[in-house]
Amino acid sequence: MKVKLNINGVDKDLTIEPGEILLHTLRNNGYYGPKHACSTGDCGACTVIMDGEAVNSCLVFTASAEGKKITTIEGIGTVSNPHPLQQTFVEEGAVQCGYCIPGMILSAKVLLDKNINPSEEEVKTALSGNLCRCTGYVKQIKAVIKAAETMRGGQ
Amino acid sequence: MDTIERVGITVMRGIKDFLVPNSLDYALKLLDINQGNALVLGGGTHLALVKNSSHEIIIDIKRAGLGYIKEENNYICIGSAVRAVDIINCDLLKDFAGDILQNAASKIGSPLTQNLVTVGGNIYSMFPWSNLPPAMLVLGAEVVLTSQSGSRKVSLEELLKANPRTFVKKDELIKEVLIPKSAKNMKTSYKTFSTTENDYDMAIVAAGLDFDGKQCKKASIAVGAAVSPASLLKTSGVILEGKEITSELIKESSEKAFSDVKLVKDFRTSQEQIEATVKTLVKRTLEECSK
Repeated sequence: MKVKLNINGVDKDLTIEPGEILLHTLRNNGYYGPKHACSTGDCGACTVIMDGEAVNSCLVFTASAEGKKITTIEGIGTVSNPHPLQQTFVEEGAVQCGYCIPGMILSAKVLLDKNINPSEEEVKTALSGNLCRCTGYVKQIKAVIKAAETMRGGQ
Repeated sequence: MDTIERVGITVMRGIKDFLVPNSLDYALKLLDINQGNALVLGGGTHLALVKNSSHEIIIDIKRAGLGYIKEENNYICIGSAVRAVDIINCDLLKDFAGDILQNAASKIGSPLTQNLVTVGGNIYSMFPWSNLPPAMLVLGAEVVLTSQSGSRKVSLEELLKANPRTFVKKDELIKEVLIPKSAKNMKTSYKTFSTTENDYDMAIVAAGLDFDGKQCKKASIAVGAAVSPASLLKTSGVILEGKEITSELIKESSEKAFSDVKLVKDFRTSQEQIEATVKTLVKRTLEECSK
């Protein structure tokens, strides 16, 4: 079957299986930011932003995302012009193996899009669906708070 | 037979068509035409785990107009396509029975899954760790099932006992959950226990007490996760009714927690520990309600 998705601001007409999962569709179409890990919505490695909300793409049927705006990590910054969150994750050493980081940054982006001055508790809640097995969470929480400061203009 | 495989799922095999009706009538018509061959999709967090389906059609009800939370007559009506996040953000439910529904919804998985999980799915899938049923049981919820030939109303307690997967007919779907407005001023408490923050709950206890002055007029206590399906602890409730709540009564009530229900086996711990945990949660929820 055919579906229309807007991925990272670009309209796409895709041919999919009716029972296909969004994570599969994205990776099959060259978006490797969402990672295939638990497949059960437990780890958050597959996180994407769908119409402004962070979701596990491993739990979304592609056909039910018809007409929606999907943002993957590829859509929020580039190497030469990174998103403040990408920049602060690097600066704070919040990345080790990197497998969980795209999901974590997208969950944090949804938070900062709604609340530019989050408390540490709010950051923890926002990241609670994204598991990291390398660094722990201290540096990532710091990175999100620092990115929020950057986005507020250094206040 | 549908099978769930927990690793490497990217496509549900066997599905030949994915339908997204834009009205309830159309959804019911599609369900009627495809009786026994269609799966109803709410949030999809359960169906996405199914690898091989004996059904050929998915009917996605997200656009069928069931995403409402509204007051009607003596009820708060919650459409089956309402997501956990919609409950959490709903002003109408903010001061309702001490936020118990919002508390329960915020305990579902993580913010990522709360954006997907629906009320209908949380009831129908009947996972032991489903968070909403215990809270809804305490509030005396009823469920409306609907099909092209009409609607029927059933108490949530009866539906869970009968098993929604067999009780809901093949041409029916869960339309809405009705929460009696009379539960608005109930003193409530909702507590869960899991070994780690991210693990599935091993025990869920919800309690609601209705007071007439200092006297407890009605007491409802429900347990989930440790028992399946989520159930009301009737004996524990009756102990408190018509009396002024004291620490002795609370203790007696919590000790009787397993008069009406049986524990399910949980490989993560011993039966003794889980039994003690449920009793402790009953005690703590009742203490909180009676403050």
